[in-house]
This record gives sequence, structure tokens and C-alpha cells, in this order.
Amino acid sequence: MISGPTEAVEFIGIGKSFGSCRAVDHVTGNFSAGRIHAILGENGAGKSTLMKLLFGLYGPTEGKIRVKGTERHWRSPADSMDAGLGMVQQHFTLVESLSVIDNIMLGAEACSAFGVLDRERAIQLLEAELPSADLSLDWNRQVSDLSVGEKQKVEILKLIARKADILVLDEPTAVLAPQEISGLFSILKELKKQGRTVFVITHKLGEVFEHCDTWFVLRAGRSIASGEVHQTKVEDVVRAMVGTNLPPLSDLSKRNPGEARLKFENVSVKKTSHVLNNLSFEVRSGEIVGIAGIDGSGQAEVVAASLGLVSFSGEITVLGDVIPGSQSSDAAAKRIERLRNAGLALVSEDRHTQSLWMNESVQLNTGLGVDSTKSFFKNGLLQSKVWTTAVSNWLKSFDVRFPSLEISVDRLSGGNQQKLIFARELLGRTPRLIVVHQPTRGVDFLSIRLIYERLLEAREGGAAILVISSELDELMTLSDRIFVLCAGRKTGEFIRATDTARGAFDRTAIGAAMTSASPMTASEQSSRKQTEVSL
Amino acid sequence: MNFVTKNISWFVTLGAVLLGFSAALLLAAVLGESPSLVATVLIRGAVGSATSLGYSLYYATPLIFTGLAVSWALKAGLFNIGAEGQMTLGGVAMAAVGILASGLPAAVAWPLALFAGFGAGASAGWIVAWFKVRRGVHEVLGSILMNFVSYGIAGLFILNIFRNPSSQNPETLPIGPGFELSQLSLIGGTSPLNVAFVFALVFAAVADFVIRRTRLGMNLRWSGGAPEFARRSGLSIDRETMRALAISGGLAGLAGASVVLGYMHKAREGFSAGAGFIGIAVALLGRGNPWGVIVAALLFGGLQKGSLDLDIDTDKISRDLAGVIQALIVMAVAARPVIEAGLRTWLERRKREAT
Amino acid sequence: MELLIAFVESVMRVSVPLLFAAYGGLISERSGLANVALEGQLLLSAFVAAATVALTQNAWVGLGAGIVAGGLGGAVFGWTSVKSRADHIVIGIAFNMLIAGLIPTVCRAWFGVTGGTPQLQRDARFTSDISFFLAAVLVGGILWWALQSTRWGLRLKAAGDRPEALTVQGVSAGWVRIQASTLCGLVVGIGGVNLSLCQGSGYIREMAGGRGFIALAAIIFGGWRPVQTGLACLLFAVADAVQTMLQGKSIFDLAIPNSIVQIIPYVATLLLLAFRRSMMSAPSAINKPV
Repeated sequence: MISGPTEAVEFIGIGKSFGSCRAVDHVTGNFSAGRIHAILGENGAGKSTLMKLLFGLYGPTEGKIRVKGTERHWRSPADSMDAGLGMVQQHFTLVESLSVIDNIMLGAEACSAFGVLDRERAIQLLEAELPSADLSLDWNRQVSDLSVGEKQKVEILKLIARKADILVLDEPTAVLAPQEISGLFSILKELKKQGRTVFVITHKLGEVFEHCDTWFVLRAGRSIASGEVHQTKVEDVVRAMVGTNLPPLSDLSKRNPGEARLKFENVSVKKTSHVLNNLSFEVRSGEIVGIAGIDGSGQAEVVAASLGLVSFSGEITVLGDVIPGSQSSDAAAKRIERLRNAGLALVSEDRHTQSLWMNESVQLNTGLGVDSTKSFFKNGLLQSKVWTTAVSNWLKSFDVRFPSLEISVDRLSGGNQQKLIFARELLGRTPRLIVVHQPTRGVDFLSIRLIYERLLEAREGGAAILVISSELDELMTLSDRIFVLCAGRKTGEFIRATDTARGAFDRTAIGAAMTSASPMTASEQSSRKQTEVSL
Repeated sequence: MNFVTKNISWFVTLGAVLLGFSAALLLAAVLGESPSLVATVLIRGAVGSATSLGYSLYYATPLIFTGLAVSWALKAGLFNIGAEGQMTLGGVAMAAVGILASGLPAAVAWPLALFAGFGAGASAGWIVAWFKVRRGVHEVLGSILMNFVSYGIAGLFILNIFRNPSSQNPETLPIGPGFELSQLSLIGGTSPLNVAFVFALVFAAVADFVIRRTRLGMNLRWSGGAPEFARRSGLSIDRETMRALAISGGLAGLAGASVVLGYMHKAREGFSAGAGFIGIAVALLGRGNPWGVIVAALLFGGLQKGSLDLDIDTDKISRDLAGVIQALIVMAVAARPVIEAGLRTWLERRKREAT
Repeated sequence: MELLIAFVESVMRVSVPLLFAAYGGLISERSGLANVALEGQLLLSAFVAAATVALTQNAWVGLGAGIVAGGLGGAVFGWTSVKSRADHIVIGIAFNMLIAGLIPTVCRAWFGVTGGTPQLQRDARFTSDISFFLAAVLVGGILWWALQSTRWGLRLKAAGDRPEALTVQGVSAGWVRIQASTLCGLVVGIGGVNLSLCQGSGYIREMAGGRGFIALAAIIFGGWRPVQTGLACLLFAVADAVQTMLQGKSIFDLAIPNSIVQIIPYVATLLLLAFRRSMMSAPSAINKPV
């Protein structure tokens, strides 16, 4: 279908600065047509920025981009789309309330006279372009009813409808179950066969070595190394990404669970349908329990129900306290405060809204909401000296890098923000039950290591730990037991094999459990959101 | 240069004020009035004599209260645009107490009146909060509708229940002498400036202390700045919302003290004269900081006094020009973050090019 | 029976400005622009229409001028909200303050008084309530159709729910919002003209009397959908008509104080809003900068 120069994209000394920060620093690289290229690097290494430069969402500060042999200066994404580029953002840019076909044609609508939409024609045009039946969907379904995997298809279809032959996918597998990941790559290989070029931004090496043709590593904005996948060893790529060898983790083999600190018995949460369905599990002191599952399978409700923030049926016991199935918001608040003082540490899913006060200082963020019996306030008055001393020590022991205590917390990197939260949650109280949700999303490798170590230490110290994550590797590294949530149900339970070393879980079986039940539709998910008060 | 970059937000705020004034003067010119005359009248009217200055401070007094009220709610991320109605109810409550208990001595009387004013305003604020928390009605819509309801209720008291039958004006009977606040004659002249101005300053200082130094203030700001984080740490957002809007309403309820207790010694229909709405502008210009609120209230109080003279001293311009100036200032202040970011980038680029 | 007909007529009459304000507001809100500036836009167009008629004695010129003024007001509100990236509510309130100050200022310069325009002759006004009402219904129908069947409607909804979906296609969501706000102003403008050239005989101070806010309540009550919003307007208009009927009446020889009668529409709006059954959600990206 596409012929021409073999180099689809060339970067020549390209750079991009935001203020004094160099996000991309003189990157040079060639990418040939008709292949799948993996763009690798840590969080904040500049992968997304580089691809946004290619796509014209940013203008470069210096350097040149050549696409199919021609030097290009985009004024806007519209330019690059005309030239055959297309990008799937990490956070989908779909209008949930509209149908699949409306989303696909948005911005390039098929219209009869006077701007009246012609959906029939749009569907015909699209079906003529379809590379494989795998990509077919019910065109009139509302996007909010689709599963995550289907939404991703819609995003890819948007590009195909615009005849894009260079496709960029930003972290496409972050939200998918293992089986869906293979499905995605089989579609991408289908596109490759037609001669299209695909860029995949990722930090997961497993899928790179399984599905991609070349790799290209960025670190701190610079191009570090690149090569053909079939000529490379995994360790070399890791070293290129991190810049050093990662320290090994402490041993997980000793396991002696004690009393149950968190217990769910036949818990159901019902909105328009069940978002948690008859769930039972317990987390004992001295063990780490992982919850696996695709995002939105009920994980958020497990946390919310444990705190008493949603109504539920069944019985939940947290640190010996029975949570009532429904209570006033004031009663819930009082109970949460009591539980937090009694040793409930909580690292929430969305750190920007649920764990931090973004435009306030590092000092305030580190001391807020810690055990209220600590003397940060006396007779309702703020004791700033006590506060400063405590907070400084905590930040130091978690190796949080910050220019000053006064600086706003949104100026810290993702890794430092997350370490700050862990410092507050683990040191601001005596942790007896630790609930962490997506503990390492958007965090660099070295910080991830530090967080893992601290969790393992807490396990040694007798804390009960619940880790909820969509990164299966993370759960397999940390957990003594893993159970899988799918559409609010427990669809599998796995215990770390004692005779083998780390990685002693059956990935395929877990993956199967993640997609076994029919997926919860997104409209069910969105109806779970508290009705916002709006104008 | 460094000085400019460090204090850029204050410069932009100052710029917003100047922009508001110059645009309004331009409007005056378009309407065929000399801008220099308008400017002179405004300035002379505001600070031209001890009496003028006294009047400016008198007009600033309710604005400090309503500005504090709006700021207090803003700290919790809530927009209370019901200060006008709350102020009206507060003033009527003060008058009602002053009429019903007219024999009380001063030592008990005015604290009781202030308490009543605070209570009436707080009730109106609490109702708005109840509709928001329990019934999902956005506080902006709730408080606007409550304004109209408050005018009606106030009208019932002023025109029916406590009406002064021997007066031609729509006003209540006079309050007892113990309720009258004494005049302030610090700066000479003959203005209605009264002790309520000192109350306003005291309340601002207390509000500043509470917001910055106490758990109450911390929780107020936390519930507004990071509600999800606060909720997960054991703070009841509903309770904070109720408390914030009630206190905000109470502060607005006190705004009538200067007029009702300090000057008219009765409640007259429409005595609030828009102070509740100007309070929104005061709070936004003062950037939620009680000291900023005082400065902004003094500015707008002076503007209000100065603009009154426009009716008399110019042929074509009326006191309503003040509203235009305030509105433009609010718009410019609202755009401050964007303007600031733009300026920063520009300054940095110039610095880089220079080196 | 006669009373009933009179009442229905009264409901239709008072619903006209509400309907236009609500349909205009619906356009703006669906594009993601939270609109508390409807009140100011009603006043602006009412004043400009009346002032134009006072100077030209031609109602049709007044209609045109009122609509154009509404559109300009909408454009200013939209542009300021989008470009400042500020809270739309702050800008909306400032816009209302601006109009509230601007009208009497201009009024004094042109007519010598701040209270309003001179009384307009009957033949320089519109006398047919029913044609305004039908026009409002027509606008509602067109809006309902256009939202689901046109490119304009598709992009409008995208700007309100997920502006990034437009941005990545090279369509400026901010521009969609500014256009929506302008169109909103044009539609609201017809409602303003109705106030000063049909229901009243000229402009008088604050003559919108909170209708802009009640229209906003109707949009929320109607779940941001055109048909339901129109019905909500009629419901609120009933409360207003009851209020008009009760003015100066007495029950069992006891005069009902006018102050209490006057608050009926606002209390009704507040209560209906509070006890509405469905909690349809607002456009997801409402009041979020693009």
C-alpha cells in the first residue's frame, strides 16, 4: 500500500525546553518504514514529549524532523495528520457520550448539505479502509458502553479513517489485561503488514521483546541507545533505561501471617448494577495481598468501602472496627479519623487529587492528616516548629528530593511526590494496615525500588498490606497472595509458590481470570461517580 | 528585574486596577465626558477632605465584612454570591432586636444586635449549604435565588411587621438608643463613620489568624483545596461546607451594622446598596487574604464615595461608572494567572537573550 | 374557564424570556461554558433594543439591534472566559456587574436619566406574545435537531464533554466555545427584546428580575437536554404566573404581603431544583479551561 523511502521518520538533533527544563535534548534517530518501533525510557525521560514533537503538538526548540524523507515544520497537529501521522494519547481522547462513529468522524465529518451529518457515508468510508475484521465494532454503540480494549480500537480507527500511515501509541498497554495486549499487537502487526509504521511508547520490556522490531531508549531527554530487538539482551536495555544496575530486592520467602487486619465478608456494592459482587477476602498482619485486575473492575470500591465512603452490604472489618454498611458522611469522617490514628496508612489511586494538595507546600502536604494525636496542633493552634522538624525527618528517611519545604508540591517529580506520600503514610502513624492503590504509577525505577523495600520492611514489622495495581509484574514481585477482580467479582486466587524463587505466579492463569467475566461497561463505571454538583 | 519577577502577582494585580480605571475613563470619553474631569471628581470625592475621607471609610466598612464573607467561602472552594441577601437579613435582624428590646443598655445591646445579625446571615448561608450538600443544588444558583428570597423576607419585616407608620420612607421604627454605635471622629469632618469600622478591622485580623494559624482554618482550606485528600484523611466535606457557608453568611450578616446601627438607626429598604455584590469584587481583588480584603475594600469604598459626586459634578456620567470599573477589575484579576505566566515567559526570554 | 385561559396565556407570556434565555444558555453550557451571565445578556439586549427604538421609533430595528447586542455580549463573555482560562462563574458574575454598571451609565449619557429608556409608543413595540412564544418553540425544535444531526452539534457536544478530542483533531475547542457563546447571546437577545419591547414599554432598571438565573436552573432541571429544558421553563413560568395573579389579592380578607408573593418564583425554582428526580449530569468538561 505504501512505498517510498525506507526511513519513515528521522530526528536530527531535536530538542524541546520548557522554561529551564530540557525535556528533549538533541535527540537523533532513524526509524524505518513498515516496522514496530518501541520508544523506551523511564517516566519523565522525554518519550511522550519526543512523540508530541513528531506529531506537532509541540514545536521543537531546536533540530529537525524528517518524515518520509521530507523535512517538516508542523504548525499544528492538523498539518502532521495531513502528512499521514496519527497519535493515540495515553488518556483516550474520546467523547464518552457520543457513538463510535461520531467519535471516529469528529473533526473530519462526513456531511451532506448545510453541515448535516451523513453517518451512513461515514461508515461506508471507514469500512472500506478497515485492515482487518478484528477492528470491527458496533458503530452505533455509545463509547461509554465499551470496554477499555474496545475504546483503544476506536482510537486506532480514528487514525485509520484519516489514512494515517505513521501511528504513535503512548503507553497503549498500561490499561490492558495480558490477553488484550496480545490482541492489540496482532492488530498492530496487521497494520505493519500493510506497510504502516508504528511507534509504541512503553516501559514494559516484556512486550517489547515479544512484539516489537526495534528499540530506542531515552534517558533524561537524551537518546542513550537503540538497536534491533532480536540482537539485544534484556539487561542491556534495562541498564540503558535506568543508567545503573537495579539493586536486588529483599527476600520474600519467609511468611508468617498473624491476625486479620482487613476483612471483607460477602461484600457487595450496588449502583445501577453490582460494582462489587459478593467479595470476601482478608489481609493478615505480616503478609502482602495483591489485587489484580483491569482498571475499573471494582478496585476503587474496595478502598472506598473499607473507608466507609460508599454504601455496601455484607461485613467489613478494618483493624477490628466493623464498618457500617451505610452511615452519614459525618460519622464516616469520624470513623476514618479514628482508623487512621489506629494505624491505617492509605496511598490512593490518584495522587494528585486523593493524596496531595497540589498547590500547597511540601511541608504542609507531608504533615497533613497524620495521626492527629501527634502534637501538630495544640488547642486548635498550629505548632509550626514541631511540624517542620517532624516533616523534615520523614522526608529525609524516604530520600525525597526537594529544593525547600516551602515549595509547592506540584513542582516535584512524580517519584518524589509518591515517596512523600509514603513517608507521610508510613511514618506519620504506626502502620498496622497499609492499603496502597497504584503505588508506582508514573514513578521512576529507583523510587519504585525504594517504595518496594519500604513495603517489604513494613511486612517484616508485622503490618498487613493490601496492594492494588494494574501492573501485574508489580503484584508478582511483592505479593504473598494475589486475587483477581473482574467486574466486581473475585475470579481467581493465587498463592506464591514456595519452592520457586520470585515470579512464582502463573501469569497466564491470572491474565485469564482478569477477563473471565463479562466486563463492566463504562457507563456503569461512570454512574458510580458521585453526582457532581454543577452549573 | 528580579524584584519584578518576584512580586509579579502584585504588579499584575496593580495593573488590573489601573486597567479597570483607564477603560472606564475611556468609556467616559466615548460618552462625551472629559476623562480628566471624571478622574478629578472621583479622587476629590473620595479623599478630597476629611469629610470625604470619612465617608469613604464609612462606605468601605460593609465592604470589608462582605469581602471577608466571600473570601471565607472561597477558602473552602465555595462561591457565596448571596452576601447581598445575607447582609440584608442581618441588618433587618439587628433592627428587629433594636426595636423589640429598645430599652437595653449599650453594654448588652450592641453585642446582642451583632449576634442577631450574624445569626440571621448565617442561617441564610446555612440554607444554601443545606441545599448544596443534601440536595445537590450548586451554591452559586442557591445563593442567588436565596438573595431574592431574602429581599422578600426583609421586605415583609420592613414594610409590614416593623414599618414606621409615621414615615414616608419604606423603613422600620427606630432602634433603641443603647443599640446606636458611636461615631468615630478620628479624622475630623462630619461623616457617618462609626465604630463598626473598627469592628471590621478586628474581624479581618481574627479571620486572618484563624485561617493561617488554627486547625479550623486549615480544615476550611483543606476541604476546598483538596477535598478528596481531606475526605480520605477523615475530614467531613459536608460538615466543612455547612460551616464555611454559615460563617460566610454570618460575616455578611454583620455588614449591615455600620448602616443600621451606626448611621440610620433603623433598617430602610435597599440599605445594603449592592455592598454584597461589591464584596465579591473585593474578595477577588484582595485574593482571599484578609489584609488584601481591607485594601480592596478601602479602594472600592473610596470609589463608591467618589462616584456619588459624578451624579452632581458631571453632566453625562453617573455613579454607576463605579460598577463598570469594579467589573473590569474583576475580569482582569481573574485572568491574572494567564497574564502572569505570559509575562514570566516573556521576562525569561528577554533575560536569556540578554545573556 | 375564562380564568384558566387567562392563566395559560399568562404562562405563555412569562415563559418567553425564560425559554430564549434557557435555549441560549443550553448552547453555551453544552459547549462547556458555564453560563451565569444570562441575566446580563438579557438586560443588555433589552436595553439596546429599547434604546434603539427610542431613537428610531422602529420596533424591527430594535429587534435587530437587541439581538446583535446579545450576540456581542455573548462573544465578549465567551472570549474572556476562554482566553483568561479563569473560572467561568467569576467571569459571568463580572459580566453581570459590567452590564449592571454600563446600562445606567450609557442611559444617563443618552437619555439624561439612569432609571431606563423613555416610554415607547404602542406602535413602536411588539404586541403579539404568541408569535414570540411560537418562535421560542421553533428555536427549541431546531436546537434539538441540530444537537444530534449536524456537524455543529457534534463539535459542540465534544467541546463540552471532552475538548481534547477536538484539539487532537486540530479543531480549536476554545473557538467552538466562543462561537457557541456568541450564538447563545443572539438567542438570549430575542428574550431580552421580548422583555423591553413586548412585555414592557421600554427598558426599566433590572427588568430581567433574575430570569437569567431561573433559566439556568431550568437547564439544570432539564438535564441539559432541549425538550426537558423547555418543559422546565414552562413549569417555572407557572410559578411566575401564579405570582402575578396573587399580587394585591387577599385570602379571607387578609391581604397577602406583596413581598411574600414576589418570592414565589424563586422559592419554587429552588424547591423544584432541590427535589428533582433525575440527576442528569452536566457536560463533563463544563467550567474547565481548554
